[in-house]
Amino acid sequence: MATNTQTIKDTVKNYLMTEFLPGEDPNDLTDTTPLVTGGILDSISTFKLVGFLHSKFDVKLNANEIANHLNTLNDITDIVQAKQGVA
Amino acid sequence: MFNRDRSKSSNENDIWRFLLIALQLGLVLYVIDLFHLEEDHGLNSLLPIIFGGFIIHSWLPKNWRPPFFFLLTLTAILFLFGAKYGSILIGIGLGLIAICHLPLNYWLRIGLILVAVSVLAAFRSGWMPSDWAPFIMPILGSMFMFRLIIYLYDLKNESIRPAFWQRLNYFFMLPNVCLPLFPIIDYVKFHRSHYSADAYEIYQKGIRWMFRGVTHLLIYRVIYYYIIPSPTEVNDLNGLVLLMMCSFMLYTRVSGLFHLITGILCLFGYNMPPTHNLYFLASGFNDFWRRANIYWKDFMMKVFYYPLFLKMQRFGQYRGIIFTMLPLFVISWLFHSYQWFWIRGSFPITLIDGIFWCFFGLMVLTNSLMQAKWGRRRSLGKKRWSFGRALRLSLQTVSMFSLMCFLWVFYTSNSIPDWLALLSKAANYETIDIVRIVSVWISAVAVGVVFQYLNSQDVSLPSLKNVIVFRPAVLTSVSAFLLLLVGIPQASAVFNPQTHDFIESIRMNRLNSRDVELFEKGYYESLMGTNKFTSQLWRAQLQEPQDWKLNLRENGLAAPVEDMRLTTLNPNMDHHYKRAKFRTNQHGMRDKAYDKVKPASTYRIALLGGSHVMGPGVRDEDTYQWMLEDQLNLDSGEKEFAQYEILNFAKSSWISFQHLLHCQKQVVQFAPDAVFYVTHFPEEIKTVERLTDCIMNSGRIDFPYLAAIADSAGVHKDMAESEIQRRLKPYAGKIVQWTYQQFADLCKASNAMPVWVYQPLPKTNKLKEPESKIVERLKGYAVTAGFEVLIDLSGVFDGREYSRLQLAPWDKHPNKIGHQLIAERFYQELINNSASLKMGVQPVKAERK
Repeated sequence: MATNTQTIKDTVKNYLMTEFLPGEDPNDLTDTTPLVTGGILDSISTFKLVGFLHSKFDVKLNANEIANHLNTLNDITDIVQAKQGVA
Repeated sequence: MFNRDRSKSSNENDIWRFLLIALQLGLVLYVIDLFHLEEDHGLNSLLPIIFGGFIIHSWLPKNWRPPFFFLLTLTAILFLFGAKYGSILIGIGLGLIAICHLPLNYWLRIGLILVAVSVLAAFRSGWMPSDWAPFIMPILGSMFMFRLIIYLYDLKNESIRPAFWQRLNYFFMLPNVCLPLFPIIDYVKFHRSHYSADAYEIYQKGIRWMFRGVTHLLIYRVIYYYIIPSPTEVNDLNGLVLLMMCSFMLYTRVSGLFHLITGILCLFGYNMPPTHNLYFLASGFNDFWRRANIYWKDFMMKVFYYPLFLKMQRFGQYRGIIFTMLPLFVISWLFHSYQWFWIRGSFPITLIDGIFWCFFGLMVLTNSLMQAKWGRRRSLGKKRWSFGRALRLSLQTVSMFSLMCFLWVFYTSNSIPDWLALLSKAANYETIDIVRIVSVWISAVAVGVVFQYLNSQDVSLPSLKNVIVFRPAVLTSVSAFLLLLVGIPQASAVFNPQTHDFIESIRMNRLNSRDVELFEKGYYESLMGTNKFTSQLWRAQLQEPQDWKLNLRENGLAAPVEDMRLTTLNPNMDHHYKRAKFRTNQHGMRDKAYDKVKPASTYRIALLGGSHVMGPGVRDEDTYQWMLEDQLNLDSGEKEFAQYEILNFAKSSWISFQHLLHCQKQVVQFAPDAVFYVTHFPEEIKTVERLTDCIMNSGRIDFPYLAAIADSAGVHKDMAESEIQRRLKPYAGKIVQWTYQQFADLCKASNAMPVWVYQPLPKTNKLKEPESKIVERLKGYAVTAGFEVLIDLSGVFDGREYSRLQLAPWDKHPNKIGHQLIAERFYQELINNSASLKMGVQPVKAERK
């Protein structure tokens, strides 16, 4: 079942803040903050996020999607919705 | 009305922004031209195309811009490579792209690409000979060697299908036409980046990066020319620490080039992310991997890491990381060699590279496992100030920098014994050295803490956010203008002579003293140093054809001998060497046939020297020795002898004591009236290098005096090359002086007049020591030894463009015109010294050939 955009965004943001950015101001994490190029997501944390997306939204990302579609909250929301739409 | 006014105002604003960008671009390009940056690769020729292309491109309708960029790149290729080579490059490139889109099964297309690449590899390696491959392959390789992999990967996996022109532009990128060290760029990021922000912001970013690139390249030059010591000059802890730091800092050349290239791409709307991010400030191995050469890291992650990790996940998180990361660094190592293959035509697999990459991989792996277990602190925006945290980060950063310096000197060493010999110099220190090094280290940590404090405070200048491009534009313009002021020769003349010389030297694109030595020595091909991007040497060899690299022995023209000469020319050869006819006579001289017994009424000169005399790359009759002899015999002036003979005993790579040995064994048997010893370089250094070769190759030293010196220096066959050279260097002057003395004594005992000749090469490479000073010192040795006539050919090429006198861009030996100039000047010197030489030649007023 498809989840709406804001719910995905809020859920993912909440996960990122709790898991990787404890103590940081949530307002600093915007929809377009670069996560990979900004150094927040590295190889290990990317896979943790991929696992989280799988368990939370039932989406399984392939290697190419991991490399190209996880740089911002907007990107993550788009790929989750796209995968849910396909499913 | 309101909209129209706003549109008008926006247009006017755009014009001003455009003019501001164009002004900055003009300044930055002028600086590049003034300082001859990357001139060897033709960047200076590309500058008008970049400037003109940008002006037209920025005013074209948006959908016209990609095809225009493609055409601009093709124009640049044809302009730089000429119609023939340019067309081959474009044709092969388009062919490769076409194969990717054949209406065939994906794996079949991969197979076809592999076949095509294998054929190209056969051309690149020289296995299939061609005249075009050495010229275009480095550029073709940089455009396709990695991008084809990414392109094919994304063709299979990505649903996005960019426009036709964007696909072509992904491969045919303007800056690549002359800068091959930029092979990797992500396909998805590339096409997504096209005008992904305000056009003028992208242009401004491009200018800023270009200027940053220029700054890095200039910093590189200062370190490369003036600060980095040669490994053989390192004798104590201070020298070792300086060498380590400089070796690592030479990486600014790579980052400078990358900034320059991505900056140029920004000018054409490709808003690419940064390639490097303050990599000297990395606080750990993972951090360094993330900051240095980011495009490489992204490529490895996308094509290898993520697919591999998804497969390895079943082994659990930690084992999954281990099984993924270790192969990743082995692949990285092999891909570096693969990159070199396309650039240089050889595939270097060396132990040093392997150890470096494995060690680096292990460190990143350890870091990753620690982060997987304990997490890593990340932050958004400005970090909150805490002394403890700042101190820890600063300590980590300075420690990481120190460790990278240590690793880098290993990575750039010729061999492990060389590296160990270098490290052993750390034992030579005084207490003050330790105090100094520790003080610098602590100061660096303190500066890091202070910097973090300032960074956490709002100490920025008053905001000028309303004018998006203004502040960076002013900064870039003023900085570029200042560089121009310093760089223009007329302007820099106002400084004192030393500063003026320094600026002039920095403006020149050249090799440093150590690389000049390696280049001259001719065996740089086997040296690890040239496999590193930070070395300038690889550029000099870039276009060198495979057959050019073969030495006399590999060409069958010379054979080994059991003495210090190591090899001698074979007799009766008729062959080609460096693409010119090369014949030897019955005595193994590169010359016409002579009887050992001197004919009656003949004045015989024996000419000894290295490659500069032997004349590689020119026909036998075009060597200056040949021309000089003809001239002496054709001259219609009054002459005491019926015939003049100049016997060419020269041989490439021989130096002082080897000529002495040859003189003892062969030359004196020809009863010459005069023996001309021709030198062209700081002989002390070359003598030490050649003596090192002799010790390393055979361990045999024919002269007791030299054997005694080797004993005093404590050198032996099994020692590292750099260590032997380091230990022999203090004796260099003594060895040359002794050799000159033996040489003069031998000549006199054989009734021949010893004549010393200095013959320069047509090249711009400057040494730390001025040429005139070197020549004076060598003359001093010659006078002391008793050479009766000194002939100095300095300035023989003055007023000429050196490139027109050299064999090829990769070979600075004189060509036919160069030899002609030497012959003319030499002839004049012989006439002037005729009385001292007892040649009995009178000057003639005319009839010079």
